[in-house]
Amino acid sequence: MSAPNGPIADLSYRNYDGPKSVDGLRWWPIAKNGIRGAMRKKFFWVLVALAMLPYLFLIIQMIVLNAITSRGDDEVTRNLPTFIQMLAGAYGNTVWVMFVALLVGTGSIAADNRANALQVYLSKPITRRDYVIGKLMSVFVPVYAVSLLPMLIATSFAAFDQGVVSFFQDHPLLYFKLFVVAAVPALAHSSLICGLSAWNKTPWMVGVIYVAIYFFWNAVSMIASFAMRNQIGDEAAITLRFFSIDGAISGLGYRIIGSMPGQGFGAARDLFPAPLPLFALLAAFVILGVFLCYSRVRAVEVVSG
Amino acid sequence: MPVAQVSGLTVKYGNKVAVQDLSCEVPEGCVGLLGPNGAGKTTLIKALLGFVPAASGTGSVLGHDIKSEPLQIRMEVGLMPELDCHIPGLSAVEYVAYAGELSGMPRSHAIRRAHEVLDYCALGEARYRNLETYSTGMKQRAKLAQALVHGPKLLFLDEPTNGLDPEGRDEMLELIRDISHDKNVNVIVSSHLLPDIEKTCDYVIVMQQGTVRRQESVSGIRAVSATQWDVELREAVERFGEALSSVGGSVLHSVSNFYRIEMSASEVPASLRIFEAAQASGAQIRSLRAAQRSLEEAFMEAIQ
Repeated sequence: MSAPNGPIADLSYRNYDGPKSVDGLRWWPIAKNGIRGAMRKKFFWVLVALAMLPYLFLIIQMIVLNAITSRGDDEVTRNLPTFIQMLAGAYGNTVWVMFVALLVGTGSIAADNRANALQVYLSKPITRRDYVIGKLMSVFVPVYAVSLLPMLIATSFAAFDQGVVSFFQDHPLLYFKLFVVAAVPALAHSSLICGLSAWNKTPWMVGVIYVAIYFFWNAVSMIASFAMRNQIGDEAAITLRFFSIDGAISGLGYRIIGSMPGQGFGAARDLFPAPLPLFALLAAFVILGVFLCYSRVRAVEVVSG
Repeated sequence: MPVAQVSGLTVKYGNKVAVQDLSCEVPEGCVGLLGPNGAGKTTLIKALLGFVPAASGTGSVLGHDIKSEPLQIRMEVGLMPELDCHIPGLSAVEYVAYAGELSGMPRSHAIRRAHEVLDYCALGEARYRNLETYSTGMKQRAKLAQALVHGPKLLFLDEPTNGLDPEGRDEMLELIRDISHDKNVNVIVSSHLLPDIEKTCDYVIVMQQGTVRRQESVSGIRAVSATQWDVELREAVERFGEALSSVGGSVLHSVSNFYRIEMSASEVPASLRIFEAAQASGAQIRSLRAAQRSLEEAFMEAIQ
């Protein structure tokens, strides 16, 4: 407050005596800043649109199938894929979700490493755990939203199309399952990409490494599955086929949704991958990602020797 | 009351001892941590902030224990790190507001406060520009602003004039002096640049090889001895030396009208006797003060 005969207002530095708290969700400002940063990028919205394309196609498919069904040809109707099969098919197009995760996540910690931002973060009342959780959540939340929202829209369309009561009688837990299944790609991508990002200073390098691992591992598991099918049997082969980042995401998703994708207008595959190895793989991704982040995030360089 | 104190503090990086059995008290005001590169200044700051664990010893900052209350400490202090550091992709106002949020401020308060401190740090309209487009001087100011945003009671400035041109350096030192002397924020300035410490600090802690060599007020560390005085006369007077000897003094050396004199111990204060000598010799005293040496001389003596 200015003195009665003093200047009208003192525009120089004043001490801050407003509210401050170190309790509560200290990681939330970090997550919020990351999410805000992602949403500011135009390319993020392009990728969001591309990630929605399989579900848009699903809606178009439903409209076409409705038209076919209305003709009343029983032979044709019997061979049409169900909504759940089509939903599993749309979910299986995970590549765009991965690109969203790459856009949001590659620079999450790598850019901080390059700009020496960790000292700024950790000089505030923020622990390493807060920082890591904040960074993971800044990737997880957008990826989760991009996975979940189109599924919700497509499912709601199907519910209104079929009739809400009848739809919920047929699929009582479907909405709940969607909230769970959307977390699978979000967990896998956010933890692995953040883990790689923590050990790098160059975001694009993180992207290149992750994409290489993602596709190479996918190809290896696919080839191994085909090559070993006769020796290990169909059930083990299909589990092996899904034993990769992409495979674990889609395999677990199919288990949760309750269907493998329909094969065009033919019958659905009836063999699911075993859930336990895929769940263990997903847990390993999360643990590895968190470990990589936590082991690298420090306010000072540790000199050994 | 000291703003920070450590007792028997030892900090190690692996097998390398960076700070060894260090004990010191940091008084209120502007305090300089002075020492050559590798003296342990930055490590001491990091230990006080809880960035590096102490191998042994204890310490406190603003009454909070460095081992058990690091978050409380960091809420009440600000750090301007030595390295060029910022949060990528943000403008200065977003960066400083974000730093405020990280310090526990509500977002609306943090934004308002960010504008205030950026104004104070003279970033003006440049505050809306991305930090990556800033010059070194502007980045230093933004770093200072993020350290100030939450209203710290104690500010750690690690080599605050790093990479600045002479003009930018003067402005930064002026800012530091203003914060510490006019705004009642305690400041610890770590630097190996003696003129920076001399311009800003009232108290100095000299470190070398991880230990404290000397800690004293700047005037105290510069004092030569209690018996020597520097006298400036209006003009040189030959009889001044003779008059001094009659009151127990002697001229050690003189340059033009500047005299360094030594006064013997006596019940009569030395200053009174000097004035007596001046009156007797017809000299006019322009200034009289306890003899001082440069901080550089004092520093060299402390680390030898």
